[in-house]
Amino acid sequence: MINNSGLLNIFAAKGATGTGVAHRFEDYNKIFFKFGSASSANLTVKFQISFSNEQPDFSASQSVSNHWDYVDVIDAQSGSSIDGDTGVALTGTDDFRLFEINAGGAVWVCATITARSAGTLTLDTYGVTY
Amino acid sequence: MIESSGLITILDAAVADGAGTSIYVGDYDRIFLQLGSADDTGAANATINFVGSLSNTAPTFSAARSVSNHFEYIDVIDLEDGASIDGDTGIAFAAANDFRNLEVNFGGLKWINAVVSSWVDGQITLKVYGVTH
Repeated sequence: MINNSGLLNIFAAKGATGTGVAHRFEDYNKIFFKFGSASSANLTVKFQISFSNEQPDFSASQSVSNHWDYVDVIDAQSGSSIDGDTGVALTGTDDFRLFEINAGGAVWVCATITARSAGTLTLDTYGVTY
Repeated sequence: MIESSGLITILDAAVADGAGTSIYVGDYDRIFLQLGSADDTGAANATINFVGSLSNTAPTFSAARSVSNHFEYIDVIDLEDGASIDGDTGIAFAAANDFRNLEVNFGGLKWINAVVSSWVDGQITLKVYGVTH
């Protein structure tokens, strides 16, 4: 029977660099992102996951005791893989995208905005098990 | 236990540009599409792009995309040859009817639809089938 998280917000029209709200997703074997920008966004977003029992600090440096990594995602428009260390870069043109994490089963999900010079980003995540 | 949607019509012999009927497929792990065309005054000559959304309510697929009207053009797999068809490209009929089975390359969508563009001729019929095994 289907079990889903509903849409959970990571960034709500965020217009600055920084890390969003982390969500616990271990109940779901498929994890998606709904990505939309406004005001001619110019920024980079990187998606993050962790298998740690306790929520890591996704805004702090990676370490053995603060374990997380950037995660590859699949672009729904092309089926292509986007490397976690690369992330998604907008360069002044707004975009509206859907992604699937290429590692269903993650316990924690988050994202970080870097290199922002303009615009805002809204990012939601959705987990589901069929 | 298998759960399926049955075949649900998105485009019913469409003969103009525009979006079809939005179908909720959030209950299904795999989403398939049955695309076919027939003569109108002549064979199909049009482009079909498949569109999907994770939003809780169906977006207006015929309107511009935005944060509040969020959808994406969706990659599909052609079951005849396993090829990936980019969502921005879609499937173009060039004055020849065709009959295709496709799988959405993004299980987990809540809403599916399709947009006909550059329509010149032909009747386009598209049905969706969702299934969870």
